[in-house]
Amino acid sequence: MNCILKTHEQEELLLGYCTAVLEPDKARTYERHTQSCPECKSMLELQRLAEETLADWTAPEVSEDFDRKLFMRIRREEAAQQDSRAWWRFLFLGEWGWKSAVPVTLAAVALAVFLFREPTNLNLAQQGEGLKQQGEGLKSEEIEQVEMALDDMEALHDLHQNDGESGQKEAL
Amino acid sequence: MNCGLAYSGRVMLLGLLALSAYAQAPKAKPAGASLIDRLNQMSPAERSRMFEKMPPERRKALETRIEHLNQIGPEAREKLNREYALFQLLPPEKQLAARQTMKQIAELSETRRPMVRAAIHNLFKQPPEVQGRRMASRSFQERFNNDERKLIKDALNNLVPPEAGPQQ
Repeated sequence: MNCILKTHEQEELLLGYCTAVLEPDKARTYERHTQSCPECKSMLELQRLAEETLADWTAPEVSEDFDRKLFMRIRREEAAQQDSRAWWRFLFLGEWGWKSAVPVTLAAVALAVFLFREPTNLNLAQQGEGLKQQGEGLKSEEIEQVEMALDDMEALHDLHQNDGESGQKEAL
Repeated sequence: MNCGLAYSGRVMLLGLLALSAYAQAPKAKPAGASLIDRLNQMSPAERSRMFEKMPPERRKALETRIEHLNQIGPEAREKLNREYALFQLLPPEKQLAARQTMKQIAELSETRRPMVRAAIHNLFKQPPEVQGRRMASRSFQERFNNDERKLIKDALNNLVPPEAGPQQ
């Protein structure tokens, strides 16, 4: 057997062996190989150590107000995004040389191509689905989705109703 | 020359970023909300066809609710859409808990509901340590009974904090 670390072939054998999902004959072959190959033996020990460490690790408890803090952070970041003055200033007034503009533009093109792929498919799927449905009417699960969305949106709207100064003063 | 190239680069970058951001927008829309948007974009005849298999009472109720939703002003509607998108990010069990909390708030009496809602709004603006102090204060204990205090605490744990500024 050639060393998989040297040939980079069948590297999944290592993972399969460590997770005990390898077929018995392959496992035996690999085991025999590790006895004569110091690199594979060392890699195997490292892999085992990593798995033991992961098995001993317990995820830290999430605080009760984790969600609240998370949403506050999302809000702050959204607000920062909305405050785009610095961004515009950077784009229009910043001292960019043409040498720096070219790679940035190329990177933006690559990014846009990457970003556009999935939404385009999504939009087409939505349009196709929409046209199909226009002929058939809404399916019962879609009606339920609409009703549930309405339930949630109405509840959120009611919750965030402005109760005016009296309510605010009364509350605290 | 340099200036022109740099300017073109900036314009292209801006355009591409704006387009990609625009293209990304539909991804965030939850299924129910995007269905409502699509229904709103249809002509009355098309919309009627969408509902044709529904029982008349249910259909009427649904149409009325969509109409009510459409009567919300554009700014408040945008805000509501953002609130709803954030709500949809909650895991299912948290969504359920949030729904129960909102239902309990809605079931409060006409006089108590605004007070509880306003307390929740005010407390959401405070850091947790201040929230704790306020909720432990005597005036808070006097203003809200046990059930209301529990409801306010649940709301702070379960609900998505509202955006700053009044909602219409």
